[in-house]
Amino acid sequence: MNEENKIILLPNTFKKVGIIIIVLTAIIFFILVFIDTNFNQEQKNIYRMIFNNLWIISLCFIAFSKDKIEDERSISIRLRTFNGAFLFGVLMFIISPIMDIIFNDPISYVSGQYIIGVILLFYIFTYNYTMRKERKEINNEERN
Amino acid sequence: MKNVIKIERARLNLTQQDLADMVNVSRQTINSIETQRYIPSTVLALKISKVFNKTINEIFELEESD
Repeated sequence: MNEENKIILLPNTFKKVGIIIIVLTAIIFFILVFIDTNFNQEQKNIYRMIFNNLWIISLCFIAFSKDKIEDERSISIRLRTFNGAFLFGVLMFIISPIMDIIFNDPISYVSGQYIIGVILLFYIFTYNYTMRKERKEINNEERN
Repeated sequence: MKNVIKIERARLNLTQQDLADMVNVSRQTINSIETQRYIPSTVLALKISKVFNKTINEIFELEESD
């Protein structure tokens, strides 16, 4: 692949590492929620920050790790879906306070971590959906 | 952009997977190019032309809509 067409991606194994971190984080989170831990507010904030960061890091690992065969077409699909995901995040940031006004709720702005999480989730979903859809279409064409 | 990859593959008795391996892309990418769903980069188009020992213009042709 031409150097100029390359984007920064992690090795394929990082996808599995990301999934393992998400599962472990979710298990630990639910254990802490259901066990009476008696944490004070400062401790709660620290744990919230750790969980949020682990969540973002694991989503980044899943989103930005290479496929088994990474070529210029998959990079083109990555760029297209990331563009869509970024626009979705921006729209969400703009629409969220407007919805608060419409429903007479106190105006609140969504946090950066929340927006980044939404963008990454939207990107992971649309990228994998597009790749799977195209693979399915190709397989169907071959059968016909 | 029209192309004659399918015809050239048949001439050399190559599968999509064979061609994909020769130019280091996935089989889905070769299929997408053949069915005109994806327009390859200049580098990939040149690589494909080289496999068939033809010029790029003999493999790919611009359409009115391009």
